[in-house]
Amino acid sequence: MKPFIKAEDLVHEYSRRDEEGNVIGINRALDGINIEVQAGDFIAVLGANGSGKSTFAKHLNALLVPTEGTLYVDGKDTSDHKNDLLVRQSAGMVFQNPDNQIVSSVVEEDVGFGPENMGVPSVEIWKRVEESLKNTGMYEYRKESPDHLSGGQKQRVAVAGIMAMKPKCIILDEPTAMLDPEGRKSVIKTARELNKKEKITIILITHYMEEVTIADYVYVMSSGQVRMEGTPRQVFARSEEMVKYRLEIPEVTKIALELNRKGIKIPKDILYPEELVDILLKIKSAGTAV
Amino acid sequence: MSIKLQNVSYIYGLNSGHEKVALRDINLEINDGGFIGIAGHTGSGKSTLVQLLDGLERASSGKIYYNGQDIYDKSFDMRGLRAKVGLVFQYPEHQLFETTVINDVQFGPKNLGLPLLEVELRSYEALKMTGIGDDLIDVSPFALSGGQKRRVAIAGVLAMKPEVLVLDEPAAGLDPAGRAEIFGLLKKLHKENNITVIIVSHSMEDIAKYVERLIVMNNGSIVLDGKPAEIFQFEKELEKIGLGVPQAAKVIHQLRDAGALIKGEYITADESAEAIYKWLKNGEYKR
Repeated sequence: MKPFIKAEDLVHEYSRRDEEGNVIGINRALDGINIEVQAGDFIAVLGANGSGKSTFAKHLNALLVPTEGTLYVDGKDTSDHKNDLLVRQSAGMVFQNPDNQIVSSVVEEDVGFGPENMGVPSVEIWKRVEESLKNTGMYEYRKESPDHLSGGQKQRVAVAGIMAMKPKCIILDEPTAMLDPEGRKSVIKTARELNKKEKITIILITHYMEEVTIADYVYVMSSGQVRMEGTPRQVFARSEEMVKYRLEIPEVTKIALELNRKGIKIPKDILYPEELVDILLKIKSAGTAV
Repeated sequence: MSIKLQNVSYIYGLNSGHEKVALRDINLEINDGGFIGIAGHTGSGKSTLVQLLDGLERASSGKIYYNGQDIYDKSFDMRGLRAKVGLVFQYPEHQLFETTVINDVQFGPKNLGLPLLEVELRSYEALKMTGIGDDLIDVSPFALSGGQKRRVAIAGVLAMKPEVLVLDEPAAGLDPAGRAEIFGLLKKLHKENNITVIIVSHSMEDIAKYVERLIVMNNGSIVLDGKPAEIFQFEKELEKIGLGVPQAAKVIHQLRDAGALIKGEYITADESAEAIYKWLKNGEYKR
């Protein structure tokens, strides 16, 4: 199967300029990225501040184009500006700050903004608005002003707005950084459901470890390169490397590793509290820890 | 230093027909040298509370005393209060505006009308306290990394020599290592410079490891107030009001629910692992 996203030796350089506009330095934000994402995958990209993960996200939406190398989104080369609209229709983007991406004073109009600009007939727009709001659990707020919503709800409206454009893929660039735990959960749950039910490819960019446990595959970025990749379990079992890249592992995984160090035979790749408790109770009843 | 709130309420849009109660009947005492966390979900009233502390908003009813003085008294020096209670807003780096780091930090103390020498002294000291090296003081603040910018912004408040430092979500948007660095810095300021630190956050898991006292707010009221370990016993209640407990505490609670006899509350992974280890070795089940 042809991959939905394919990055080949992708490089992005930002040039620093002085007051006259002369280039005084070059900052290599992406340094040879090779990533393949299949349609329908839930992918997470982890990385510290300044690791290049947001620059990568902007490439997926053709907001930036490669300095070197190539990036194909849905089979289209993003460096060709003729493809811009097609790329953006295939891969929609949700940003960090919900307040920066809401344009209307009524929720349902905000969601309809995207398809309207694409020239979708209005009967179809309303159908899509209804569907997207139901999919993100925001239908009951359709007549509300976005001002009256919480951060998490606003982010879900932003996701609905992208959904209404019927993308094959949604890129979420640190969508929960400004939200409280409740809001964070609701946004991640929405992304997961869209992936499962609507088969939408999800690229989640974040530095919250608990959010990536549900991903099919994780890439860890540092200084513009992919340093680690694998399933969440494979990645989190390598805790020392994670710390080296200014990240951390979930607390539960830490507990499992610490018990391991103390000589308890327990898997190193535990992700959820319930899972750990289950295993601990089994160890206890087997009496092997004594 | 002491701050005392007595039956404080705050209502937004009073007499406008769209009244919204943000704080109801708050009684709270904060004394010298504390390292305190105020937690609550979005809209719980925690930011409003903080704005009352430094006089940015005025309580709709109730009294606030700073060092025993009523801050709403006509003779009270409100300007002085704002220097003593240093408020660091969310994403404070967005408020950097000067051409160099040192100029930005000097802005606050200059406005206090201090002599230039004193302004400079305080500014260098504040930058040193926040770990900004000499090589960065003449650099444009916009050339710094996110974590550095935030520390410069905090230095700008420290240069006012506050007795209390109040920070709204100081770690928002930072990566795990950056979060640990900021909290480590605040802990150091608290210990070495004897500054009372109040951190406002919706991620209790984040601040639990650092603070000595945790105040939990919901719907405009204080619902819990105590040591983090005491607070986290109330896992179900906390989850009901949209807050989480550290996974380390969660695991212990679940083991306990399954009948394991483990005493005490544990916040960090290491503490929790130690308690679990002991239980696995020679712990028992409840009878």
